[in-house]
Amino acid sequence: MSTDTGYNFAYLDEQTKRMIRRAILKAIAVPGYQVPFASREMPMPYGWGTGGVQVTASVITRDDTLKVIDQGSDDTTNAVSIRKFFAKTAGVATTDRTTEASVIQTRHRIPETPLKASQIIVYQVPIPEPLRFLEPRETETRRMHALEDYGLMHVKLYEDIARHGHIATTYAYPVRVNDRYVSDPSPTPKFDNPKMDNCPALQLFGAGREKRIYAIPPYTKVQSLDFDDHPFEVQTWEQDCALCGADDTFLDEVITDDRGGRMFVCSDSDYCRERRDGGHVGAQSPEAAE
Amino acid sequence: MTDFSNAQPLLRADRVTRTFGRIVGCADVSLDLYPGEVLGIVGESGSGKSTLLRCLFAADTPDSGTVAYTLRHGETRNVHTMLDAERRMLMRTDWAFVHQNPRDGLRMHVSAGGNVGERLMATGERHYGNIRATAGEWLDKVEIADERIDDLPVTFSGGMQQRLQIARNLVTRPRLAFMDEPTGGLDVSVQARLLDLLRGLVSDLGLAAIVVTHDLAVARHLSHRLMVMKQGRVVETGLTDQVLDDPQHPYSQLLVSSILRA
Amino acid sequence: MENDVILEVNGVGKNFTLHAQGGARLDVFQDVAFTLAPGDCLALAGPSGIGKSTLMRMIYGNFRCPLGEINLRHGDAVIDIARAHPHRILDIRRHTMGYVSQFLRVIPRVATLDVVMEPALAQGIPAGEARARAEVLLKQLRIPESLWPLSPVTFSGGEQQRVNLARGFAARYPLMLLDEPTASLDAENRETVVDMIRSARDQGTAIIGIFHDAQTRAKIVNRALDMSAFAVKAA
Repeated sequence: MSTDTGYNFAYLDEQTKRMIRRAILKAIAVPGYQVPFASREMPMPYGWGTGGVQVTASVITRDDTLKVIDQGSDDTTNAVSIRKFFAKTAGVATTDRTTEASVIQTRHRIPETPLKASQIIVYQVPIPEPLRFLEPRETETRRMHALEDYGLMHVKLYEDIARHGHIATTYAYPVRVNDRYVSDPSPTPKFDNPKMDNCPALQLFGAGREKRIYAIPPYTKVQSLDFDDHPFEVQTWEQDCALCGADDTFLDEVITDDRGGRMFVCSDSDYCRERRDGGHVGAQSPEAAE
Repeated sequence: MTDFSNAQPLLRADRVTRTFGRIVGCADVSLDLYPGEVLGIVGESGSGKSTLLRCLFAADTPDSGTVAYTLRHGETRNVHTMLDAERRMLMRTDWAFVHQNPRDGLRMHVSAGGNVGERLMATGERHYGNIRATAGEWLDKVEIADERIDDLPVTFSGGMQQRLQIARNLVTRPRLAFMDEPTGGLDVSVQARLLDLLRGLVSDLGLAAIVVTHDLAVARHLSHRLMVMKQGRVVETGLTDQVLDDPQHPYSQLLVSSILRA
Repeated sequence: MENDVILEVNGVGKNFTLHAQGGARLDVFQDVAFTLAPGDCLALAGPSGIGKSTLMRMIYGNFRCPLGEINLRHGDAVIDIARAHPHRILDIRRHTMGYVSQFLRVIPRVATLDVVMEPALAQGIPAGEARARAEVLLKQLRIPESLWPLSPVTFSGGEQQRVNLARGFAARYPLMLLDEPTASLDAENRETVVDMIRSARDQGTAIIGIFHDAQTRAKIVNRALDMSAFAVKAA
């Protein structure tokens, strides 16, 4: 299967994609469990989404439409280069629109538009092991997962509350998948954790440097860890989006000049644009200024 | 103090042997430990005390022999053939570990409260306020001031670290403690305090313990019975004061007579 | 063993083998035999080195007994100390047999009051009662109240001995072993201790003692056992 560019379809050879698909199937069968796989060298550096790219390459077909986001935006270097990579090597259609995409590769965000049953979301994961910073030995963390020995995970949250008065972890906030494996939702803000729970789309996670794949099948229970008296809460903002006026999205702070001017806007640029196209206005949108 | 007369043993070792190539770790060691009983194991470095201890709590597997532990509901299980998950459960509920070096038993970059609370969280406690309150009670029991609850163990003295290690282990009210030179690295002035504390906790909680030590004073003050080991074998065993005051085996006599008196 | 006997020592002998000195064997005594009834107070007599303390420590289970038997009434049972399991000996020491040695051996940090209360607590006496009893004894033995919260290790020899006596009498045992209980006491305190021992004896406690002071012995003892009679003759 090659394309007119001379590359094999989606860059990886068929044997590699088959190997990765096996890992993905196993990951889906054991939700939240980190499946080792023989991660390949990719034509981009580690940390630029090599894990996600290999997963996407293994699940994408000619008929798919691909969306790539980085921090919620389709226009950053990372998102643009990965989108171009697949347009070139697989010849697939690409889009900025969440609703049009069948495969979405993401770094740091889950789109605000609810995902559908026909979609696959692929997360780029730098460090798949949620216990890593508490217990550096891989042999030990694997055993802890096997034995559901997760007391340590709560120790981390305990330390947060003891130090800050509340759980200060705001991204990569640990979750328990299907009442079994504690997993790292990749460095997404905890704001997005509730979107993972009972999500109709298939969620796949790829860590290239760490050579791990894990998955959350559609409609799987995903629970953010917490305490009875310090329940899990998502971030909230005092402002609404300055451009579209949304009051229920994840906002980025944007510096507008060198005199302290700033505004808060939706981090999901596609969602924000769609709202504006639909006539919603925010306090600083050009329409409001007129 | 507990009455040992009509209970079944909590831990029973039967002819435990562990060799490392041609070197004998421990050979043919049998022992019974009853609920609430403290057994001292003495002998010089290399006598096999620590190897035996590791075999008893299944950190090491003997070449031959068995170690049986009686669970809370009365069932007796071989510690080396039980499932990993079951053994882990024992390690965070029923068993306590006091290492000579507190760094081996503490999380040095987790606060004192978090260290004590870990076993509670590992066994399903999910109320921060309760965990913190219980941690506070245990810090109090081991004489660590309440205001140190959020401090890291790296800021504690050696004696405090050792006491924190004890609190961290006893918070789930275990039934059996494995102690390896519990006062080993401490100043003499701090040792007495720790000994007194350990003795009180052992008797208040009805805790059984196996205390490996080369310090005969520690053995005398903590243990009911004593086992003397030499080159991996038990050469003498009996009531602690009997073994120390009227030792029979040449090696026990040598050990007792070698103590320097201040 | 007869019903009115609490202790029966039968054919008891002791020797020490000193392995560090070429296995030299030291025979101390042989064929010691006597019985003791409640309310008896037996003095072990004889010159020093004859084995008085050794015999006492064998009865307490502190020294091993290689020859003969030491039968003790413990609750409803009769136990041979020479062959008893360590657990049984600990239980006997807790409930049946008290021992006041010449030296106090405690962890340096424990308060005097706690040291004295400990045996009573071990017998299951409630803390309040044990404390009250300990306070009475310490007062009787003239240990100033200001010393009670302190560890006795820094006390004078006489004070330590009195703390040791208070500890021995804080719990009640059917049999008490007293190794020179008045050795380093002044006349006034000696009198107090004599009264305490007599009162225990009159309440039915059997006592075995080593008393170097003839006056003290005369006031307490109703029998004496001359240990010279059991010395092992050189072959």
